[in-house]
Amino acid sequence: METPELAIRAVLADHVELPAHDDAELHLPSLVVIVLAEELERRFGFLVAARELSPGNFGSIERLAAFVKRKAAR
Amino acid sequence: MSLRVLQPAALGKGVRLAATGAYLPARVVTNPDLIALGAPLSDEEMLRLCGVRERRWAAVEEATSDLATAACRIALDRAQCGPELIDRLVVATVSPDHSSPSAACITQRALGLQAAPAFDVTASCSGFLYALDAAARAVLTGDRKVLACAADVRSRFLDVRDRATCALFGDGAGAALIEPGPAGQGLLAIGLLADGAGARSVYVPAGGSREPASEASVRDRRHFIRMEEGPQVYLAAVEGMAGTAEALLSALSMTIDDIDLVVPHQPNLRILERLARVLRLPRERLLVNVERIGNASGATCAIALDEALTSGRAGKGSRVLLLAAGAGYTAGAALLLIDDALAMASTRPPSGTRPRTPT
Repeated sequence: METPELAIRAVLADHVELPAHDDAELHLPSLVVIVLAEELERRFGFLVAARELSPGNFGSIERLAAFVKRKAAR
Repeated sequence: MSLRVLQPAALGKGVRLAATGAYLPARVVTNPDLIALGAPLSDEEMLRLCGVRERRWAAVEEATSDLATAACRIALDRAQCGPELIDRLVVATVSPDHSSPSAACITQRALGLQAAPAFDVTASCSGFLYALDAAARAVLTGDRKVLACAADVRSRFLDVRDRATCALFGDGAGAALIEPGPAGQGLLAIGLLADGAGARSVYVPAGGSREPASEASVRDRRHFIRMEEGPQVYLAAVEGMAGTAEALLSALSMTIDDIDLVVPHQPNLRILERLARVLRLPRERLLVNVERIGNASGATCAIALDEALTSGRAGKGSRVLLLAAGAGYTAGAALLLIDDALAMASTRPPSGTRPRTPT
């Protein structure tokens, strides 16, 4: 089963150079943020709200993975 | 989402659209044209980002009131209504000819509306629905004929060097003539909302009382549209349109399956595709013209409604759901039942579609 970390890295790798570590700060172009959010929605079956696009959720692969796990568990 | 919904029938009254009109400037600006002007995106990037192939820009001598005047004239022509019969004019715009007076007053004179009160409303891309709401309330309290118009010349506030906004915006105007009608027809319901938490998500920093125009503001390009946090704006636009749609339909005990055609504001193609997914709406019941028109701010929804009516996609008996969301944030939804007379008026070819020379 695909983990959130793998899914996030797979989507990001198509658009940007992956950071060396999952806890590194991400600085993503706007379009990549949208593509990433919508791909995670599709793969894990939830909707991202505008207020959830915060650095606390989208600032690193690690925080993104935790966000995906919280959303998918609801 | 809490939405205060105005239902004329609940008041024992009716409000109908007698006719619509739309005016698009003649100048077509393609993506390669924008690149030639200095836009920092390729044609492919523009299409991927927002799906816009071309948009219209006003001519140098055209201002917002000229576009508004042209759209209103078409609506009056189609309704076979003289300007002397108009009780009120509402113009929604975020790009008036001047910061003062209103674009509505200049439009009022150009149309020959005599002493009819005229005023602007500012609701950015939700502008037409805010104007429609104001017009409907005026009709419900005694006005006989009200022009609800939305017009914008966003190209004058566009920084072609800005990646986030350069490909999005176009210019245009749309109008509807609003009058009393039978209860249960025409405008069935309308609901608006605002959330000032998004006030600086899409805005023009300089040129207002917060930061008056200065050499420095022009040098720093702060008199142009800025879109901060584009991804949040993207999702907020969908949430605004989908949320008001669901709240309005719920208030009417209806679902999206009861709607024949959704006519949304056209912020960009990706937003419309997401909107259709979230609403579970088949693409054939969603009007999309953003590839040709771009985002004409508050006028977009009115232009799209006019296209739906004049093309026959919204014929008599159709239930049409108008949706908009924009800077502020603002949002709104309105449900129309197209009556025979509006469908017939929409088939009339307008005369005098060019604006007169401003005086």
